[in-house]
Formats: sequence, structure tokens, C-alpha cells
Amino acid sequence: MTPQPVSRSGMLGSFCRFYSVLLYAYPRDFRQQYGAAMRQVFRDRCREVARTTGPMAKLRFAIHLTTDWFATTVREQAAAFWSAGRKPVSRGFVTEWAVTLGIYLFVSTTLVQAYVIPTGSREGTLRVGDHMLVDRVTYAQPGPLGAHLLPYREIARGDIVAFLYPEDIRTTV
Amino acid sequence: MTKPPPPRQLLPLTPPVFHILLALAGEERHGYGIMQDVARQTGDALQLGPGTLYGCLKRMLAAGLVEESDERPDPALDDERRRYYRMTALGKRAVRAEAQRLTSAVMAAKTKLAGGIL
Repeated sequence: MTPQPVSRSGMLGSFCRFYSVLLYAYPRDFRQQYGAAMRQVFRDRCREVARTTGPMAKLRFAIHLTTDWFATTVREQAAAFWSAGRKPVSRGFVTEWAVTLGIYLFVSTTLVQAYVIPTGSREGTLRVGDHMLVDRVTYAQPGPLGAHLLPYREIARGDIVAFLYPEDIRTTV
Repeated sequence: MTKPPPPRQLLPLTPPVFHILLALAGEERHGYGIMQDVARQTGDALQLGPGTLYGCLKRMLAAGLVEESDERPDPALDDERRRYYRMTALGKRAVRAEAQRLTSAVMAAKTKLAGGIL
């Protein structure tokens, strides 16, 4: 046996394993129904391309497979989303709450945070029990990319600023 | 049992669906057999990827254009895990209607070409 077929079959195995991972982007029902057949077709097509075509055709094949995978995962996910009304309630319920919690954590740690005024130290402007949303973006340190995308600016006269409670109380003025 | 929709309601068929039906016109085929036949029909202009192929088959099964076949042409020569598909009577009527529609379109184009409009 020459080394060439061995390495080729090894590569084919690696491609198939990689494709098996890519299949996880499809909705679970679709994957369970057609995943094995898709792997089989992928393996057959890879064998044929490896046997009959040159490097440029192999590259075109890889690009074609990638676009096919991307377009059809989006399409099948959209189809699964629209037909989600027929799915069991429990799964949708858990997903919905997980997404809500994820969005809440993202927003409250990076964009805005809700506070209630605890004392009367700003009486006249902010009264005890007032609710407010504190912007966490505007005064943050702008990164190289974020400086162009997000509304950063310096603190200006008249701004109301909320401070984080200091770790060491002795640093307070 | 619900009555199948008239084939005209399913038109126009997308190119992958039309060519998959043509591939199944003569015989039952498995996924890779369909893929190869579609490439042959179109002179490699239409190469179906696995996602497109099985996405179309899923929708065609739901629409009643194709059905899964339990029979194997030759079990000794074939991998028994492969799934075979065949065209239904509705699929046959739909592919005929689509071919007719395309013929009319080609005739219209030819008339315009002959008249020098295009």
C-alpha cells in the first residue's frame, strides 16, 4: 500500500468528522432525520472530487459546500422557528427565559443599569425613591473600535454621575 | 384523507426541485444518485449540496411530490442505510406542468429573439 491512499482516507475521515460537527448548526429535528444521509452524501461527493478533480476544482467544491451549509442552516433554522408553535411548550419556555436572562445580563452589565435613589443627598433634582437608568457606555474607556461605534464623551458640567461603591471606603472624599 | 393540491398551485418549481423530480422520473434513487443525475442533466451547472438536497426533499415529502421507498434495487450491491426516494403521481403532474410552463417561456423568448427585440 502506498502512503498516498492512506493519507487521503485519513483526510477524508477528518473532513467527515468536521462536517458532522457542522451539522449541529441545523435544527435538531432536521439533523435527526437527515443528518446521517447528509454525512453519507458528503462522504460520497468528497471521494468523487478527490478522485477526479484538480486543486482549483477542490477549492471551488469547498466554497460551494460552505455556502450550501450556511444558506441551508439559515433556511432550516428559520423554518423551524416559524413552525415552533407545534413544539412542546416546555422547551420553548426554557429557551425563551434563557434568552431573556442572557439579554438582561448583557444590558445590565454593559449598557444601562437600573437604580433607586436611597438618600436625599440630591434633593431638588433626585428625590428618595426615584427610579433611574444609568448609562454605562458614555463615560467608559473607549476601545480602538468602540470609539467609532459608540457614543463616548467626556464628563460635562451639569451631568449627573453615579459612582460605584468603592472597595476601600477610605478612598471616598 | 385530504385532497392533494392541483399541480398548478405548486408552480413555479424552484430549479433544484424541478431537477430532483426529473432525476426521479425514470427510477428510484438515493440522495447521492439524485445529486449525480442533477449534475448530469444540467451539465454540472447545478450542483446540489447536501443541505440543499435534503432541505428540498424534506419540503417535497411534505408537499407529497416524492415519497420514501422501502425497496432496494439490489441489496447486495447497496448500503442498506441509504434512503431511496420515488416520485408520486402528484410529483409527476407537477413536473409535467412545470415543463409545459418552461416550454411556453422558451417559445415566448424565441419569438422575441426572432423579431430582433432581444
